[in-house]
Amino acid sequence: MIERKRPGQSVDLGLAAGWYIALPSPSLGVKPRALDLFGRQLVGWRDGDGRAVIMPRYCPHLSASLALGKVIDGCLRCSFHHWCFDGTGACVEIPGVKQIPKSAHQKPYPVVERYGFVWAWYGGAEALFPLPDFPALESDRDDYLGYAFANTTPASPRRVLENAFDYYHFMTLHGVRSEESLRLTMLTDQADAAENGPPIAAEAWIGALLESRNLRLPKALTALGVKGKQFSLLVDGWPGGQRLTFYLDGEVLAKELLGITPVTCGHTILQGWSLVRRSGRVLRDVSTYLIYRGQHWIGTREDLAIYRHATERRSGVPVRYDQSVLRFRQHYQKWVERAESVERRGAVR
Amino acid sequence: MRAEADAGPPCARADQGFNLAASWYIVLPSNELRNNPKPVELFGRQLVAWRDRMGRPALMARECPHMGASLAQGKVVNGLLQCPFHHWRFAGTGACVEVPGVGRIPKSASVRSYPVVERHGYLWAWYGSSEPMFPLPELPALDTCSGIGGFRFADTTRATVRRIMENTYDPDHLVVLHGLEVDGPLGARILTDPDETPDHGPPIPAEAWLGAELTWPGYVGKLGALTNVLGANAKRFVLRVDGWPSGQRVLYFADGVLQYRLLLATTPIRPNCTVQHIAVAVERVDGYWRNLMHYLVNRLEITFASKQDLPIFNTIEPGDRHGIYLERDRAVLRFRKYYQSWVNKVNDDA
Amino acid sequence: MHDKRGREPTKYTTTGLPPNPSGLNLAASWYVGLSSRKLHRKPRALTLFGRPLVAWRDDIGRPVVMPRFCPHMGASLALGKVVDGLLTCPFHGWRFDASGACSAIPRVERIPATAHRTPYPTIERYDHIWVWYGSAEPMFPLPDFPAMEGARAEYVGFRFSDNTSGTVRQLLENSIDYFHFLTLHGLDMDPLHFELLHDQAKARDNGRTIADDAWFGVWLEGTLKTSRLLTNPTSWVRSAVTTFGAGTRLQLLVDGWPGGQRFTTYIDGQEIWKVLMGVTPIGPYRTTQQGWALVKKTNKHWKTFLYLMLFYAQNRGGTMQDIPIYNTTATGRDAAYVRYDSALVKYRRYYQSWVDRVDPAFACTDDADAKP
Repeated sequence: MIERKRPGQSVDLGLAAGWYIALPSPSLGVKPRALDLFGRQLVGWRDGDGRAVIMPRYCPHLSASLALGKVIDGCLRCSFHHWCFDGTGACVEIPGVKQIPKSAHQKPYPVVERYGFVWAWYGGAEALFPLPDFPALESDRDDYLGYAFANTTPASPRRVLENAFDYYHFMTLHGVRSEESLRLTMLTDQADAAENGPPIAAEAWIGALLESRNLRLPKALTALGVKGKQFSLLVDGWPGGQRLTFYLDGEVLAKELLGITPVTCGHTILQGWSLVRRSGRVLRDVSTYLIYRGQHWIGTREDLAIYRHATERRSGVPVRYDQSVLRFRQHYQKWVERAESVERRGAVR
Repeated sequence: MRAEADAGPPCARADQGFNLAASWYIVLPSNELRNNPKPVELFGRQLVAWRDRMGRPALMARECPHMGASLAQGKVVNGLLQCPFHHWRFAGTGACVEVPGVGRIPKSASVRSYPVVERHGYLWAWYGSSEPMFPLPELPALDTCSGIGGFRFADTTRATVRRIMENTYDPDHLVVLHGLEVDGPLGARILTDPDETPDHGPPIPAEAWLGAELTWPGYVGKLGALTNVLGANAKRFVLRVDGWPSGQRVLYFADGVLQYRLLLATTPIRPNCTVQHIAVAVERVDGYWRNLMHYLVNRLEITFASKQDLPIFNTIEPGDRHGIYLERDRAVLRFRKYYQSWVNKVNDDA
Repeated sequence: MHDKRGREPTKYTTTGLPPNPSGLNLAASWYVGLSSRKLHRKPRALTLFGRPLVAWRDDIGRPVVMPRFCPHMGASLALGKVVDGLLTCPFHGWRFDASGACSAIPRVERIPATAHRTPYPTIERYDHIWVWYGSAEPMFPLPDFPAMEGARAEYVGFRFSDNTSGTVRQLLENSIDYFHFLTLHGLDMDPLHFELLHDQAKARDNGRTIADDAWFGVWLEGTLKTSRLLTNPTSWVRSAVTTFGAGTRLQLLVDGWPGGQRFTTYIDGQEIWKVLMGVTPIGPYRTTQQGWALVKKTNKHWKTFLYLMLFYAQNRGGTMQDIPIYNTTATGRDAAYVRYDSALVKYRRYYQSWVDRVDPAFACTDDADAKP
């Protein structure tokens, strides 16, 4: 990653407190890596046990970038004067100096490495709830054919996450047609979202079920032999990510884990995993995988085109069918305020 | 010769921001707007231009009031501009006319639209108030010339609108920058009355009008030699200009004979980024070959002169500051006072 | 941050120094404007101190550096021509002399009083055009560098020019921060002695004295540990280019003013090289270090040539290690100083005192609306 010199200048993204994807696991190797995340300049590295550490980028000594450093004996050593920091951010050694100054430490972000990603918590020094589970990528992995995806967009994390709650756009933008209009119900009981995975911390959780009856598939899909009358989408998540299950005629068709990497203002990455359910018949599975992946790609492109040219300056004029989007925004805003109050209380990074 | 150090209040706002006059500006050439809506950056804003079923043009803000999607990504459906996100549909007036799936249309669901007129092969828009303060001026000759006779071009510059417009009121730069070698003084006088330019086209309302007449004698030296050979020299040249705050009609005479009529207009994309448009109707002369020669010489002269201005426009100090005025700069100062009076008329909450 | 009158704010870090500042933070000083060979007969646009300027030569070849835009209608004087020693604006032909005064306007007799541009004091020396920033008149003369003057024949070397996105202060304090020689540059020296110099006489080898309050000097010496080529090749190469194979006792003399530095290095008491380093502050986070790197000629051509090659490798190698630090270090943050930073802290106070000496009428802030 090319480091841009806008030294120490952070941007406030108005982010909700939550778990975010910092970077894919394979991208973090033996060398430390400069990371732009949460509108801040950070550094990612691995300690002696291979555990990922994410902390502010600038050495407390003379503000050099720790991303230019080296990991020696499990500690990140600044290249300038060789100050060494361990995985807790404490300065453990300063060559030529016996007494280590009190201010010589960094505050790392809570980190979890899972599902092939390094996740970081935004909103205070301690995570307020654990990273939600996604069994389809762990215990049930063999039931699925999967692929990872990553797309960059100027849209805000909130815009990307509220998308699944905007049922009307499925019809207008994505052309999902049905005899009767689509219906979206906000869920109140996490048990209704059990198919996605075990419950998430109640305060952080939000979920919805989108259903359509008498689905009219586009000719392109019917020509490929796709059949189906009933389509539904189960979405639930936390401020920062979502789990989705797609059903066709009552059967699970695919699942998705959607994570967000908020790089800075006007730069967000949506990434995660798509998993297509296996039926056991190889040829059928391959064709389902290809068709699913194709329509996912098309749908993503349609969304990204809107995001790329949309503005988020004004609050917008909502209408009747935007209720679920507004509910999502209220929920999201609570966690933005949560993050703000925790960040204010803690030390400035 | 006295110098005017400070131009006083009319120029006082000149140092700030965009400094756009309430006036008519070119959005784009008509042939650049076809069936699909087109994103346009104008007045430092993100806008969209499109045509309804009858081909009537409209210009409005690009951001859909629903969730901020770009209307330029949409398409025209039943003569209405449809947002690609939730298919809200807008008329050319900016009013939201249809919201599928919803009976009542919210009051704040309209977008700002700009008065537009299509003329002389360009789409023009009014900036500065909800209704135009004067009609779009015309240069009829542009529409009647055809075949060998008319040409047009555009250049994007880092200059401001005022800088491009005041250039015509600045005879001194003709000698120094354009290298006009003449054996006598250049004259410049401000015209006081629209009646002094009846042959430019339909009159422009007096308050919005300003004109000038520049004169100079025949060319000498190298330029004289060249123009003699091309038959382009004369004993007396007159350049008469009239116009509105952001556009001009220029008539050029050699020994009293009209050579061409020129339209100079601007597209203010954003501060210090302005497109200069030039459209010319060259007068016809008898004889096919004479006419062709006449056309080519004039075309060359205009194109060459305009290209000489560009390096200055592209490296000039940003913004519209007031500089130092000499007695000789009276015409430029007069133009600036006039231009600033129309900047002050802007009543536009962005 | 200091306010305009140089008063220190009441809230500090533990050391009592304000945090290292963001933005230009320029000391009143001599800076390198551009190298001499970049300026011939045509005027040349350049950006210095974040300001748009123009450089040109008058009829006797003297360089002039002044604001770029003609006071008449703002045209760029860099598009003009020098005619009879006068810079002529291409727009209306206004002519400016080397003092920045408008000396002629075609067909106009009386020239307005305000028709001038104030040039920056300049000196052309050592193949560079130096520009004074911070006040109407220079507060001290440009320091000299004998290796490029009377003693020129005794030296051979090369010019260097390195662009960075660092700040002026970072580039200048680099050699005062002696500890980084051991860590970043990997010099293994033991024993090591470093001291702040108080007497300019000790820096005589670098050149003549500089105005006392503008001067800062340090002295570093140590014995380089040798290593074997096969067991530790990088270390062996490093000590080879550092000691030139001429011994193990290294001494480095650094002195300078708030805009540049002079260096002399000795190995086993023998002078090996000298450097004159100037700084060009183009704009915020756009700073170039440029100057001369010279090796003292020996009595054998092949030896001189070898020293020159080794020095080139050392100088370029060291610069390539420093530049990523300059380009990626943050500003506007507190520093946690330790024992070996005492000279560095003093240097920072010294540098900031010269920032405070900038006459507000001549200050170039990061604000684009400041007067030209």
